[in-house]
Amino acid sequence: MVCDYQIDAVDREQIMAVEASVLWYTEGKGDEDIGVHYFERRVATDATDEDLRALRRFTTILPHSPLTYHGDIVQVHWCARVRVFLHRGREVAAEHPFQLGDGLAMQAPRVD
Amino acid sequence: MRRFRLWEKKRGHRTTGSTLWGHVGETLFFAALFLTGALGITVFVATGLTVRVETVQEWDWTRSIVSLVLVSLVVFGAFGVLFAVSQVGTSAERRSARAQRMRRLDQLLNRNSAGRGFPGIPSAEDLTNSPGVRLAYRLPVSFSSGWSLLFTMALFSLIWNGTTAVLIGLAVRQFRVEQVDWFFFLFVGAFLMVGVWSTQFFFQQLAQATAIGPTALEVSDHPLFPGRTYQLYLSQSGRLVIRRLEVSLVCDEEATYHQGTDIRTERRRVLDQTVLSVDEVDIGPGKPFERLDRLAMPAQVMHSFQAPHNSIQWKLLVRGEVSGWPRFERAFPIIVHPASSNRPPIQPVLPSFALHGTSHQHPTV
Repeated sequence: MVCDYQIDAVDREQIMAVEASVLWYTEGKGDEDIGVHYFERRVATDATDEDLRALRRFTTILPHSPLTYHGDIVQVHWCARVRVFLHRGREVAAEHPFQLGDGLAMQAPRVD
Repeated sequence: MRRFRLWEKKRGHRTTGSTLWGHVGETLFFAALFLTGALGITVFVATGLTVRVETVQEWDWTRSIVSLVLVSLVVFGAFGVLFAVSQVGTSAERRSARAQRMRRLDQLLNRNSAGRGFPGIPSAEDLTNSPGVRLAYRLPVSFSSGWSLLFTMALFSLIWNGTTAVLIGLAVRQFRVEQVDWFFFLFVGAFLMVGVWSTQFFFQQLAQATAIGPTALEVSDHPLFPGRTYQLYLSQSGRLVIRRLEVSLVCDEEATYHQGTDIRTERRRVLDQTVLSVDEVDIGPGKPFERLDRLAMPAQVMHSFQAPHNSIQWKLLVRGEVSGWPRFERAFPIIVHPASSNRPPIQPVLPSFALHGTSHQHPTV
């Protein structure tokens, strides 16, 4: 998987750190579980010209599991998430969902 | 204006107000615990706190208990402050990534290959370390509800009948000194009736458990993959006539959630597929019922999944209806991997053997 992200509408000096991750999380009746497959945290000194807003690309090889799943009381979703940490403790996150698997096993099988 | 519900408990991790102030409050709470413990130890040691006691032995016990409480406050407070501070400004993804790095490091150090390559899928190691008699793997049986009921009744009967014996002794003593308290006698009578019932129920359950005998289930390969076919071997021992014996492939979703201070678990069965079904099985001592059959995994199904609060569990259930006994059920957990993962199928070798036991057989599903 190849992922590009860019940060707009904020001054360079406002950004303290940027985290990019690829993760799965559960949804449904149970409490949320998350599993991070890829994680990257960058501060200003890690970026060219100390500007974290510039276009950034990362790649990762996705695992075999867990596949995206929409069950009755348990759902598994995958997404790429970018979280921007600003001054005074503020943070903004954006995510882009995607499907892992061919979609054939996405739905819960029915009880016979 | 917000209305607070008095009789319901909050579900989930929703919070009102600022998360930052929540962390600050949590840190202050643990800091207060730490300071209380530290101050208490200082006062205790410096002033030589004394307590009026009867004996020297009581003084040692009291000093030990007080010291333990104060040290606990210091330890909990210190760890709580460190934990609360580490949570401030740390995203859920970062915490999870950190925890996963520690797990991978632990796996490398212990040379533990369990779970590698298939995140979120439980390890099949515990299910494949027992070779079968006819096929490659013998599946372990999970602790069935029947056995848990048996142990619970045994414990309940012991405690209840012990208490009843004490009460009967008191009643007899009263009767001897001619102090008849009819309400107390009725109370003891009720206790005795419950004790007799629980003992009878326990022995009934024990007789059923021993009469039905062990169930063995073996598969030709493990873990399993959707869309593939496997060999399945069933062996049922005992000394009884089973009206109907069935093996089913089931898939359960399980979700655990917090509701206030309670932890609740909900299960939902999303697949229940009959693999084999046999009627009128006559099992004698030394002659278990045996059957070799096919297990066809459905093609488009989800793999096994295990997370702290959510799971998808696959099992093979052996169910039996026995004349004169309650229905029994034994569960054999299995692991299903994603169909997309590359793994060459193992070709099973079918041994030839005679079918044991008298039965009227249904066609294999």
